[in-house]
Formats: sequence, C-alpha cells, structure tokens
Amino acid sequence: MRKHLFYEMRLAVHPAIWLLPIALAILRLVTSGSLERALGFFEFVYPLLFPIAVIALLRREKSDRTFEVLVATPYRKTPVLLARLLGVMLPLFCAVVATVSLGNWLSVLAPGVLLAMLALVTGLVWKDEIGLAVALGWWAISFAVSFSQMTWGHHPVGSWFVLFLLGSGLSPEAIMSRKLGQMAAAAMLLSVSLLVAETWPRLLFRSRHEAS
Amino acid sequence: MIRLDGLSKDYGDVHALRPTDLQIDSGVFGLLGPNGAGKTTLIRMAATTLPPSGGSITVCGHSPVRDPVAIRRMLGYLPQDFGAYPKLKGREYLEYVAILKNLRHPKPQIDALLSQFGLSDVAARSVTTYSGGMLRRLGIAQALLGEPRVLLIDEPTSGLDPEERARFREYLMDLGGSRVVVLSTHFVEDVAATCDQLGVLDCGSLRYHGTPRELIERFQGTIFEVSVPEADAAEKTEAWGGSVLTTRRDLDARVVRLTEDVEGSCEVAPTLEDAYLALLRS
Repeated sequence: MRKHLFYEMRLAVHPAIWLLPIALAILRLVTSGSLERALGFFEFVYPLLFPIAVIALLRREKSDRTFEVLVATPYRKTPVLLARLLGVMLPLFCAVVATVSLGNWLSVLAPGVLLAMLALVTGLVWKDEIGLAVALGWWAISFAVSFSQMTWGHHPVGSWFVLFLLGSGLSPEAIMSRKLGQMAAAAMLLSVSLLVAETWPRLLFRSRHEAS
Repeated sequence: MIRLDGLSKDYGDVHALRPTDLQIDSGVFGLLGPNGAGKTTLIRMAATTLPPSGGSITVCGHSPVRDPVAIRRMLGYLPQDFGAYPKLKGREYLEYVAILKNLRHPKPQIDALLSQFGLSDVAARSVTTYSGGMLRRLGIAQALLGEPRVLLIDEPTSGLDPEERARFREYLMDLGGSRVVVLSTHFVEDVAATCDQLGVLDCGSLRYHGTPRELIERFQGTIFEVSVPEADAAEKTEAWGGSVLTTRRDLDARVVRLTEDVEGSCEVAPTLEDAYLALLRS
C-alpha cells in the first residue's frame, strides 16, 4: 500500500512543483509576513492553479498512452485517482499554507478546491477540455463580478456563486459561511468524481479515437 | 476461451464491428485485417476497455460488461498505442503494473521477464530512453506479469524494424500453450509465423475463421503468376485491375501474382499472403 502510494505520488506531479511552496515559504520569511498584504491577489491567482493541475493530471494519462493498461488491470481505480489527486493537491495546499496565515487559508483554498473538483467531475463525465473551460469560465465571471464590484457580489443569494469575496463588503461571518459552502460543494463533487472513477480510464479513452 | 455472440460495435453511423460470432480457444489466434477492419475494436471489447453496442462477449465465461474485474484478473493486455510512464524506469514500471495486478512478491517474476525480453541491462534506465522495440518488449513483459490466462496483443510489431519484428515473432511463438493468446496484426508474416488459428476481419465483418493452412487450401488452383517486361508493367496491371494481388521486381521484369489466368501466366501454390489478399478481393 505504501509502495503504491509512493508510485502514485510520483506519477501525479513533477517534483519541481514542490519548489513553489518552498520558494513562497522562503519569501514569507524574508519579507516578514508582508505577503499577507497581497491576500486579495492570492485569492484570485491560487484558484486558477488547482483546476489546471487536476486537468493536467487527467490529460497526462492520455498523452503518455498509459490508460489502456491501467484500465485492464484489476486494481480499483478510485484509490488510484484519490492518491493522484492527493499528489496534485498537497503541494498547492502547502503553497497556500506557506503564503497566508491560518485564518485566511479557507478564503484562498476554498475557491481553488471547488474549481478543481468541478473541473474533475466535468472532465471525467464529459471531456477534460470541457472541465477546464467550465472551471475557468466560473473563475472569469467571479473575477469580473469582484473586479467591477457588481451588486451581485454582495447580493444575499448571488454572493453564494461568487468565488472571490474578500473585497465584497460582506461581513466576515457571511464570507466564512460562503467559503464553507464552497468547501462543502467541493466535497460533494469529489464524492461524485470518486463514484465515477471506476470508469475513469474508459472515460478518458472515450475522448480519444474510437473506430479502428 | 473467448466467445462472441453477435458482438457488434457502432460509433454513430460507423459500424466498426458488425454482428460477429466467433470462438477463440487456447493457443495463438491471429486477428488479421487491414487498418480500420475492426481488430482493435474487438480487442478493446475483450479487454474491458470498450463496451459493446450489441450482442455479447465472454472471456473465460465472464462478461466484460457485467464482471470486468474477473476478466482483468486473468488478463494480460498490450494495447496498440502502448506507452509507459515517462517518470519511471523500466523495472519501476513493471513493479507499478505488478501492484495494479495485485501481485504479491513480484520481484522474481519481474527479473525473469526482464531477462526473457532482453531488458535486464536497461531496467534501471528511464523508459523515455527506450527505443520503440524496447518499449514494445516492456509492453509484452507487463502483459505477461501474473501469468495471465488470456493475453491480448494489439499490433505488437507495427513500427518496428525488420530485425526487431523477427525477434518479436520469436517471443510470440512461445506464448501459446494452455493460454488464450489473441494477436491482432495487419502483417501476414506475423500470423504465418506464430498462429494456430486465424480470423480475417475486413470492414467490420469476419470474412474467415480457421487455420492458416485451410485458408491457403481454399485458394489452391486460383493463384497465378506472370512475368511482364518492366516497360509494359503499368499498362498490364491496370488492365488486370482487381485480380492483381502482389507485384515484385525481378531484374528487368515485373512478377505479378493474380487471381486470373491471363496470357503467359502459370498456376502457383498460394502463400498465406496470396490467400489473404485473394479473400479480401473476393
């Protein structure tokens, strides 16, 4: 089991990705925590990395032409996907931890995790390109709403669909409840993706060629 | 044993495999056909990676649709488009596949396969440094991990140089025995050298099922050979049209094998390639 996890972690991401949290941690130490002032920037930027990393994970199985062997083995695909997701998310999580203080983790993590899980489910059920497009589309709309400070951004209902809330004027409690809502939605999407994971390579396969 | 009962696969309006009945017993079975004949589609359905559109298929009594895991436990599969994880070394890749196949203590088996397929010296090298032939050998080694009862090998020799192809055929010859081996290929030489039985697929339909010898016998007395001067070759072969099977150069002449008794031709004993091409033209 340990050996399997080790292999999946290696296959999930390039080890160089660990330079990101290390560099950010060093930067935070050097600047004595002034990175915290760029919290609004991180709230926008980090959520982009999560879905991109997850879709890259799905695509790699295709580009490396390894998925047909994977599907034809008896090993359950759910733990394979879960372990690889862990491999992808862990360095990104560490990057967030290295950048912002404990109280702000959720603000930065929640939109990223939600978009990643949305991209994952959509990518598994339809195509990875569609997964990435849906996630980035939501990110772009939220960015536009937040940037232009539309009333939608702090509407009692509309604000539940906006990913970036730090500058919205909502109360800290309201922001917290929406961020927790994003995490709950992400958990639900993860559950769905694990349910469909058994057919994961077959789904990956579908978006390649068919008749031969 | 692999059994197909009216098995078919459609992609929209395209019939990749028309309703097919077939039984494949132990030994090496060659699935021969031109590109786009439906060979890979059939192999993928048996390998549980592609659901059928109609009919049924069972592999050793198990359905890939209802019980894919039971099939995967006894399956070795080398897909046509085989790749290994570029982050891994040759031995590591086999170790990883052994984990996916739930094998306990696979090291002796991995050592034996690396040695059998001439990969021991490069086992510690990244698979990105492997040649096409080495990668195929790694592919067949991973397929053989766990000593599978059913082995599905899709186009193992395409893209290999002649020396590597000949070497690969030698490996394939020894794979039969008590297991079911299905070898999909469009090279007649591969089938002639390795298979006890063969099926010919064309445009999604099974055109022949039997032994290579029976296929040759079917076209006994129908294959002719004629030598024409090089200068007349283009005109003559065009005139003979669809009856021409193969042509080859012989000094200043062109030797044409065909299914028609033309002026100056003589009857020859058909080869498996002649019989296969004649079957496709018929």
